[in-house]
Amino acid sequence: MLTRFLCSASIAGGSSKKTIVGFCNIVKSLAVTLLICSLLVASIAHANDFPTQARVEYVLRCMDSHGGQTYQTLYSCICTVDKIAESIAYDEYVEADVFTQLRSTPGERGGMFRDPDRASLLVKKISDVTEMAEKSCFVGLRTDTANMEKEHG
Amino acid sequence: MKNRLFVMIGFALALVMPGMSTANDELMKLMDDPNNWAIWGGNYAGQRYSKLNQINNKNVGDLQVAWTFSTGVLRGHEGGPLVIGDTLYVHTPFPNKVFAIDLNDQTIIWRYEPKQDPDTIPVMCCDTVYRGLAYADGKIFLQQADTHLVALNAKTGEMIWRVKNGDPKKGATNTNAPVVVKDKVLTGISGGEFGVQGFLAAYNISDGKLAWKGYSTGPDDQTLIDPVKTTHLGKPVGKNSGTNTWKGDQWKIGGGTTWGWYSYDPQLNLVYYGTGNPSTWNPVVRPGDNRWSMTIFARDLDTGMAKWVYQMTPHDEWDYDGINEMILADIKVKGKDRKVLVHFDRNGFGYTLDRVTGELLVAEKFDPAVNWATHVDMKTGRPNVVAQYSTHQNGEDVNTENVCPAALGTKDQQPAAFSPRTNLFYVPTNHVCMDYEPFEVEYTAGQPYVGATLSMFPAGRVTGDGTNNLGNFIAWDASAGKIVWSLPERFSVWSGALATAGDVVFYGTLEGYLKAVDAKSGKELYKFKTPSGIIGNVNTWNHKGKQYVGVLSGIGGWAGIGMAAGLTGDTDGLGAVGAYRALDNFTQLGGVMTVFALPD
Repeated sequence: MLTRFLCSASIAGGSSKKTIVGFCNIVKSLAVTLLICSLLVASIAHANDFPTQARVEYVLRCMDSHGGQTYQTLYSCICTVDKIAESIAYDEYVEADVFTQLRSTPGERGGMFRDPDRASLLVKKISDVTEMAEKSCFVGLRTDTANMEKEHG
Repeated sequence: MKNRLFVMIGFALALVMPGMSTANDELMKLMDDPNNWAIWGGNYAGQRYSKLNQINNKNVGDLQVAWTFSTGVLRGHEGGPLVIGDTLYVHTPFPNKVFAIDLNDQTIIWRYEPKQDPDTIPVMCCDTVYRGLAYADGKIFLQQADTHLVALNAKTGEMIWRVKNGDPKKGATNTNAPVVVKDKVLTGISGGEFGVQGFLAAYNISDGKLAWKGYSTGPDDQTLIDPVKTTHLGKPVGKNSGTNTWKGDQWKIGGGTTWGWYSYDPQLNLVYYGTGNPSTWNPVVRPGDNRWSMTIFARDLDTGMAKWVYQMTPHDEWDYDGINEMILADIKVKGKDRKVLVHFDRNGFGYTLDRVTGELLVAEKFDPAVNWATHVDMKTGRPNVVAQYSTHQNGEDVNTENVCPAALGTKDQQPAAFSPRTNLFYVPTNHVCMDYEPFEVEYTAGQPYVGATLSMFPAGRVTGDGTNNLGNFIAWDASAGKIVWSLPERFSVWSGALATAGDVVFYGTLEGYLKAVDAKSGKELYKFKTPSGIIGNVNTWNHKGKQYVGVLSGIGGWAGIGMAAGLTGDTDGLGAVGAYRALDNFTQLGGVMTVFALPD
């Protein structure tokens, strides 16, 4: 599961994606897959370039949807956004976010955000990255997150 | 005070020059003064150009957010604010609230919230957007979604009159910004997906009485077309041109709605606008050219009579509504000074016409990916349709693949800008293609009359150039019909552009960025991420010696991304941040107007 996530993250992520796909396929059966892919992801996606504004907005939204402004939510939300920023470049995060939020746009216009292959790829990626980050940051109830997404949609 | 003075001057002029109206003079003066932003397009020509140059291509990188205003309404925020003297007027999507804001302290002077039947929402095809207000004669004109056209007292927000412009039960709604010319307020109608018979209507600004109504389809007395005097590419259109290219009575539910922008030439006294798709979407069941859907109209302001028409997409097979803005400019075409009308159609062609005669001067693709037609025949004005991409020729229940552009067009309603300093047009575009499959539908009043399924993808999949951007922001030479520069945008650009005398061009993106680029080179000079995707128009004004740039963000189902969660308390318009400094007020629900200025 983790391997798949990391490889798919790297596939969608960088310019050298073909090399990575090929490389990951070759070493798929080996025990070192996880390690190698992790290192690759780290070297490509370590942009860690989220602007302050984006981190603050994320933390505010995250705190709101996990019970309000307490130290508990503050710490886990900061942890989450920092982890997300470590694993995805900001531009790609923004692109994924637009696809995620605009899929429910009514009428013909919405098709632009539902139909392209890249939309599904990025929506999956952002959801995986967020899930990973939240898990390792002790973010509260999962149902809250689900509600949060629903409200946006 | 200033407004009153203009009214007085206007009144005096009216006494001297019979036949001219005070409202018109007042509005013309307001538009001439770049401190205001008095009409959707900045001026009657729809150029979206400002003479202000305090913010310029040298210092625009220093822009800061000066203040923000939350509208408290979700959904897509199209259009932009009006500024008249010390007051800014801003509108919202359904339920179409109006706020008058004092620019001295950003407090709300008045707000108006119409009571509208929520049943209007389901018959609005494409989100509950609204593109803005009009000002004249001390009144703010609000065109509600439920088709009520309302005149409000600009000082107090009290309703002066209101008139019903259509029947939402039959699918008629409104999303357009009205336009005031002389003593009339012009408005159109939406609902092409519901088989509405489109029209442009002129109401008297004094009492809301209907002055004239010109339909897009129908017999001559309904279309206000003169069989001899009204021309199509220089030739008289002949008798009942609005019915004789339709099968039977189909023109009655023929669409040709008028939900875009209206421009006006005071010298020629002509109003210009475009008509939308013929109903139904399924082309197989409506043989013929379907006149005058997909058409540019030039009508006499006083009588409504059509002077000339030009149908861009006869027998539409792709939903390429012709409603996009008409930009009026005086430029050289093939070495000759011309009064032109420039129009970037959904069908992917950029048209330059002589706006006096309706002569077609230039028709070229403004996205190289456009493939449904090879070119436009300059004699007949007809596009040369490529059989492979003809959804009609391919027939019902056949999936026509890789048509460019997609149904939302190479450009939708978001208006382009024109700078007389560079003579370039700045155009927000889509770079999206589609698979399109028509199917048979029965018409029922008030029910969608669409009859096609489609799927969309980046144009790069068709052109095979390896790109996956869904939009471009381009600079266009309307004289040569050529792209001068093109900036790839990850998503379609659905925000209206602004050009200024500071040689800066502004536009917004779906990620929420307000961007400023150099008018000559297209080089990006500034970007700022607003709270939500931008589909509004960027406007500018000057208050107490400082130039401001303002834009609405907020998009369907998604207003206030990052801000909309965990909201508490009232969802009314919030007022400016200056008045509500607490952080939890900052996270209120709804679309946001962000206003930028240079630091002191």
